[in-house]
Amino acid sequence: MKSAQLKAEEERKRAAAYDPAQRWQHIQQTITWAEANLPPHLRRNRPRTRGPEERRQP
Amino acid sequence: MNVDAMLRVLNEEQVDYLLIGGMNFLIRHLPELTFDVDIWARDEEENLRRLNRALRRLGAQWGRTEAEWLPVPEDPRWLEWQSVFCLTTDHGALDIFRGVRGLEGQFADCKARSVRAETAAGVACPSLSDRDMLACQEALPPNEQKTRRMEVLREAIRRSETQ
Repeated sequence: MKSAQLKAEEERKRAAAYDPAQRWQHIQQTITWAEANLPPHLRRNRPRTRGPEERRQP
Repeated sequence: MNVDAMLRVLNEEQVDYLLIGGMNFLIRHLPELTFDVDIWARDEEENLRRLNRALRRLGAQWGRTEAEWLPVPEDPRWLEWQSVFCLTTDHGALDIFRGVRGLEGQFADCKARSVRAETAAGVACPSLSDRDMLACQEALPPNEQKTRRMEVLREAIRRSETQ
């Protein structure tokens, strides 16, 4: 089996064997981990400088 | 997925490996949609033995078919059956490569060129260099290449050369 075919077959098997609840939990954890491991300027939950529109507000 | 736990166990078992793939790109450059950890393990008997110990600690499971999905065996020789394995672990999905397309037979050179990356939790790991990540992409058929990743890598290489 060619390497690309083997990889595709391996991924298919894993997806079929994965416990759905555990897979969902792992995906959620990955998103959290990825967020924490991004450079600060790319994080979604970062403090932002107020823009000109906001600064005009009293 | 607890990436830190996976890397920590690989480090503790002294597995000779390189972090590759999307997670490596994410740690070093930009977010990319990826839900597994890819590692390239040095393809040598003692290293595969250490890798198998780490996999068993991580609760890794694999099977020749999905119906035979079981904890990985104690005898590490199963790792010689194929060049790539996609596993489940207690901490998330883990892909093991014994060889990498575009970098065949070059583990030692790639390890020498690797970069020490560190996760936000402070777990260190050997990370495939930008130049070698690019070589992997260039070895793929054009329709499988990740063009955004290649652009970012080319730019990072260009920047490092001008510094």
